[in-house]
Amino acid sequence: MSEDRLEAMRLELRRGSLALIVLTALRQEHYGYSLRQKLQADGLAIEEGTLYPLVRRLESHGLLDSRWSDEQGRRRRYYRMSVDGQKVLNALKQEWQTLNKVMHTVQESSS
Amino acid sequence: MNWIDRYVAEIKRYLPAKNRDDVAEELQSLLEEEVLELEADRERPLTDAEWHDLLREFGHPMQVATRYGANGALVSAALYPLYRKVVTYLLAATALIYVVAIVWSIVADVTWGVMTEQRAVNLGFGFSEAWSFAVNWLVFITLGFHIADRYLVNAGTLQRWNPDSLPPAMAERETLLSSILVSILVAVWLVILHRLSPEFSAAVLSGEQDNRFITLIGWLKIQAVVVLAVYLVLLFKPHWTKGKRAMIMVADALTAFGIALCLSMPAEALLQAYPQLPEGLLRVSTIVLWIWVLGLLADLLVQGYKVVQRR
Repeated sequence: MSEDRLEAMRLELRRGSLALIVLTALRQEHYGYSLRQKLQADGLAIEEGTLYPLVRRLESHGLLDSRWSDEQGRRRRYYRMSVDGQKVLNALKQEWQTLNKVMHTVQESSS
Repeated sequence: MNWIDRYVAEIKRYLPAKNRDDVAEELQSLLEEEVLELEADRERPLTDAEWHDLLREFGHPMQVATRYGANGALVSAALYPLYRKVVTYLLAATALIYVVAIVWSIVADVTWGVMTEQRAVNLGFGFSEAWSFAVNWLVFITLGFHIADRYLVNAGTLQRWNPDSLPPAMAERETLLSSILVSILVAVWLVILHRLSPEFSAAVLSGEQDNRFITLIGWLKIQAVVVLAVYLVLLFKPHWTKGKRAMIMVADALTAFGIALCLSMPAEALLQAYPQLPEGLLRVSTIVLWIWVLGLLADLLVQGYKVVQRR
């Protein structure tokens, strides 16, 4: 399999999981850059070009609340998970756990 | 203007108007934040090369705009296979009709010594006509699919499909032949609609103008509206129903009536309108019209039989 194909599949696999991780991280309020720093510190390197549009998308779907702030002399947009976001996160987590379980079961039954 | 201003201004050009300023303001703030952090780490302003690296990593302005929602497609993935098929048929049929028109012009020229410029003889479908025909219909088809996308796919119509609407399985060869035949017929009708636009009135339809070609085209246009509507429905619901067959029967009857009317019109009047029209060609066209009427009547019987058989 070519490197490009592998990379495309890797990105596809990551895409759904990233939304789950970002929602989880945004149980605490963050602005774009601080969120990226937090994820990096937690072991997830993610490009700006992927993270920031994803956050916007989640917000436009009503899963995040946002506000502009001029604290510390800098204009920043802060994000936090909304009530709907919490419900979606719970459902996604359950789905994630089911997939994990199925993955283990399939792996064991196939080996 | 600094790098960030230039970069964000370029991204703004591609963003949808709805949230353009909001996204741009946020991007500006995010990039400024990144740069401040980088400069604080390095304890100096960024060099031009470092700016280049930063912006390249962020992405081409068009790619960034796409990630922020400027990625609306004219035809969605759900309808794209059908769209591609229709466009392929359109282009193939246009090319075929173009070739037929050229061959016909040459045959007419050699057989009757008629110059190809004379529209009474050739099909009026040269290269520029073929090109404008294909482009015009491509635009209409794309627009049609775009509207269908918004009102059918987004409205969940495809999710509510009924397995009963599946057509009976046909052999691959049968499917191919019927596809080719349908696309050629549709394209021929489209050419007639596109290329010829004589006055459309009761006088034309009733043959009072004594020009059988113009009367014929008037009736073909009526037929085209009915038949194209049926074929458009068939594209989405590829299954013959009594209603669709009835519509085709109506179209057949209307066309047969129109052609019969043309045949009843005096040939002398047509020869007066086109003095250079060879008599041989007139005879051939009369035979073609008779065959056409018979074909339509036969189709009426076949469709009628199938309607009755399904009861």
